[in-house]
Amino acid sequence: MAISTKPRKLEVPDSATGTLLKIFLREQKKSPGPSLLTVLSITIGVAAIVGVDITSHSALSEFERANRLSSGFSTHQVVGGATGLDENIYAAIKLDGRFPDTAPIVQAEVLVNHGDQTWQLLGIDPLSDYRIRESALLGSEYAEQPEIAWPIHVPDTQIWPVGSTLTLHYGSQQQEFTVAGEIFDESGQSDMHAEGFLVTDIMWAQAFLNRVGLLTRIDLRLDSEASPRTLQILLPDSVRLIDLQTRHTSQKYMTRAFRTNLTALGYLTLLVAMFLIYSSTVFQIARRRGLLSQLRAIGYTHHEITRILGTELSIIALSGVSMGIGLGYLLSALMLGLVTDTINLLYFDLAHGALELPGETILKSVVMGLLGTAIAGAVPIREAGQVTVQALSKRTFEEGKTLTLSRRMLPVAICFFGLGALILMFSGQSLAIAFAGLFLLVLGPAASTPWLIYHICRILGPLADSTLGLVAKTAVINIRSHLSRTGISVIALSLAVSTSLGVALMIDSFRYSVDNWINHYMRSDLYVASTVPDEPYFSELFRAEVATVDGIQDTGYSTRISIQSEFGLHDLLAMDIGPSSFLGFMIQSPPGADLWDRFNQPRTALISESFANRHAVSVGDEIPLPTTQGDIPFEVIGIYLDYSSEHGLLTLSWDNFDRYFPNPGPTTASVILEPGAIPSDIEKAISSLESAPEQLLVRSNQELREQILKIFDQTFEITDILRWLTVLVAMTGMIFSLVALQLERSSLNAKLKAVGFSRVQLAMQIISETSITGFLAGLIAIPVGLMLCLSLIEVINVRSFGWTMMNHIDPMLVLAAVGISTLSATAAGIYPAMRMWRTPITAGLRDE
Amino acid sequence: MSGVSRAFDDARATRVVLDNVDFTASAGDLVAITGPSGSGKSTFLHLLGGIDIPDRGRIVINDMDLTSLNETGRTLFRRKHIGVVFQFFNLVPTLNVIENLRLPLELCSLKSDDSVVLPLLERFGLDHLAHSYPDLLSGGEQQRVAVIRAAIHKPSLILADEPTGNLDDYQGRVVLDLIRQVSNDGTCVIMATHSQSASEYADRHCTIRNGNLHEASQT
Repeated sequence: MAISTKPRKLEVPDSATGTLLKIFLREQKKSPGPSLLTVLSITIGVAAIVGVDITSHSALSEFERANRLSSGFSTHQVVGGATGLDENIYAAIKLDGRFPDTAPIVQAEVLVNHGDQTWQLLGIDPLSDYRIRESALLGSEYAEQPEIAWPIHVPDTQIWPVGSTLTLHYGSQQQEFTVAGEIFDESGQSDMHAEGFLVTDIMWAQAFLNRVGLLTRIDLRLDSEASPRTLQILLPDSVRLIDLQTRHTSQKYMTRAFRTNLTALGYLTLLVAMFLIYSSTVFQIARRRGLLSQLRAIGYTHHEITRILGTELSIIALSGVSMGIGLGYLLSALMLGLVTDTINLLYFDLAHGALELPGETILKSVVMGLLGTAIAGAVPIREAGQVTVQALSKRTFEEGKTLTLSRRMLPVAICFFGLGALILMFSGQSLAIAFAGLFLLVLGPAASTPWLIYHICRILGPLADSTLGLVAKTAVINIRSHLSRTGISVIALSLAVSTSLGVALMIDSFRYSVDNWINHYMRSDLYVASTVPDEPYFSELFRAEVATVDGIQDTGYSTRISIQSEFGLHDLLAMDIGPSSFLGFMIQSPPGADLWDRFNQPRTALISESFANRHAVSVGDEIPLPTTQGDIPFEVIGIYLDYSSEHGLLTLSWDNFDRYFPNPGPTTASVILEPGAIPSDIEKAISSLESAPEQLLVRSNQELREQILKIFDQTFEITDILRWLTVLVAMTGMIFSLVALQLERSSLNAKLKAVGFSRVQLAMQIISETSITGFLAGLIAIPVGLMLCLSLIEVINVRSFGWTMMNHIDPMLVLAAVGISTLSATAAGIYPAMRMWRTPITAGLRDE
Repeated sequence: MSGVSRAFDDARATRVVLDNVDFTASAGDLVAITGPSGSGKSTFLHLLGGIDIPDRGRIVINDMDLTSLNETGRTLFRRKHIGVVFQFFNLVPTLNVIENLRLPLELCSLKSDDSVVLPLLERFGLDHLAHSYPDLLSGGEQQRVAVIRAAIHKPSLILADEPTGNLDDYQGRVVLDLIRQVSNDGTCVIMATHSQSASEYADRHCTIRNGNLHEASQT
């Protein structure tokens, strides 16, 4: 028979390919374990990415929507004045004629029907507002119902029907409004996203809020002709023109680090999942070795086998990705509330928005899920395609290869580690690059884990024999000789535990630093603040009366405002305090300086560490600030530690603030009591002062401290969820691998029983083996976790938030990490031990 | 097979398994290859099946020089011209008997419906097992199905590596009877075995010792 000596074009009849697929699919049905683990790993990995992405996207969308609804299409806003803008400024702008797209706004936070939820009451002028927000913001019926007294538009007339009455509360004022219609967005549809806004005519708003003749702001849409420069000339010095685009960009930028950190944790979960995908694929291939050899003997080429295995993994990956998107969506429902709360606590007010599943998130998750699976599964599948027919005559897995591989991975591990350290050191200000470096830094030790475990077991073996006896020795030997099965799972568990430990230690160090800072900074006994909306200022009279209260030793006053300088949007703190309160500042630079005298000199400022780091400002530099007298440079005389604002805080003396900024008065007071004074008595005395604001909040040092730490803990709740998600993936993988390995060895266990091992001994051996494996993974996680914590503190946090913190290693957290690792692995040993206990020797031997 | 040599490197030294071996077989031959463990019987079969390649020499089957083909070419050649029976793992566990038998036919794009497969099962008395899965078959039944599967697409050569090594005498004889019948149908069967009774079924008896192949006698 003549056959060409050249290799023919590869062609497998469709029926043969179908049969091959059928073989694998039936096998999946028979033993779905490894594939289920793969699906689960992909699902959780993708869910973490999708969850973070949807949450981040939805929160930002809500931010954009809130801005759009509140500011419409305006490009600028005129704001200023202690109690608001004079209406005449609006009239002057209108009369000028060059700024037709201008609308006056009165806005305030109100309560409805004594409810807890805060609503934004927006008072607009319908005749001019359509130029900014388009007329559709108010229902068309608005103009048709002038007879309604105190009309108001609501987001949803199904909840509050047209004609029903709402009682609005603002401070001590309350007023009944009649629902006149629904708020519509610019597309003319009912805007569910407008939730949180109530709209009425500006005249009703002014009357209700007691601001007749005053505006909160003026919204403007400026173009090249009606430029900001020309408008600025019309405005008095006391008011400011804000570029909204710049402000919105600054606000979004503020949350960048927070969002990047979450994204990094999401990707880390996928990375851990990739190890498990690799592990389960290797396990699957190892189990199918006989079958693959047989198929090769029959005449399937390695390309055909690789292709079918690839198809099978793709199907598994697609299932995982689909479920991951679903789970991610559910996860984001949980996370959105936490993220919004965190943004509210740390950055700016944001309502709880609706969940959105953007197309790009789906695309990203599909790409990342498939890519992650492809990368993790490529090597085992390629090796599966190259299984030789000779393997059929061998019945044992070549563990030697694993050891060789683990040895070969050592230089790779060192390269990863070195490269990661270099990237981390020289990543500049880029958080994304810094995180890439951090990933490599963690992957380095992970790649060396099997080698480490092998050698630790070599040392442990004789030790276990001499101290714990035969059972322990056999357990250690078994771990060493089954690295191919357990190695990757140990890597995944160790990676997850080390990450969890690193993040937990970082948070703990952060908490410790904040606690230390609070102890140092908060020296007063009582903290007083006015909670009157929009006008939380203490009068001179109130200050004078407080000074007369018996039992008060000293009082400091301060106020905090947001300003837009050339460094973006940041806070400015003005303090009217004495030298004793000034001691609360933890001055970092210049070291050991006594800055009190200089602080009170004109045009001097203290800046927080985060401000200095973010904007590369040092002591001696001059920073221009937008004052009532135009931009004026202030000399930086010191840098102090502060954890109250990650985007930077600038502190001025009261005199400086009063001279250069509109100063309606302080908003908070800190009170130091005389020895023996009873705080509750002083609190009552202050509250009952005649000039005291109607809504006064007095909190003790302890209360405020607890509240700050509560807020701190709240901000890390979402980090904790993602951290535990990563550990959960790894624990599942570890448990699966160890259970699979033990079940595979049921015949060996039967033989050991046959030669005289008791059931107790074997059960002990199985559980010891899994426990020791988990313990070793936990042990390896300690140095990696410490290194990760150090990198997060010294590099990532400084880049993200601009502040440094103390390293605080809580031994309990370290022990807990090892404990979790050991316990999860021990749990993995229980089922095989029970199974071994129940299985008669004969049944075990028959398996052979 | 002419001038074929094959050596393996192990940790200590290079071990020559086959040294300048010449061998010829024709259609219908049933050849038994014997020899001590590790003598190279399996290597000899692997070389004939294109599973392994020699360090030196040529292997020609049906005028095709296997040593000139790459791995994929040898696989494609094996698919069509060679059937293989091993001591273990012979049947795909997730396919039933009839599906296992269809596999080589489908791979070679040959007709593979019941009209082809069932008569064969009936001929060898296995028709009652047509829809059974391998784990429900005895060792002997599994090996008989394996032999039928190796022969079903009418290859020129069947290689059997210890086909009765895992069976008792009775089951072994049933399998060997089947191999004999396949050989009588005109297929060349080369069988590596330790078993004296198995080798008695063969027409030709070869022994591998110290890398050399010796043909003992011809019946």
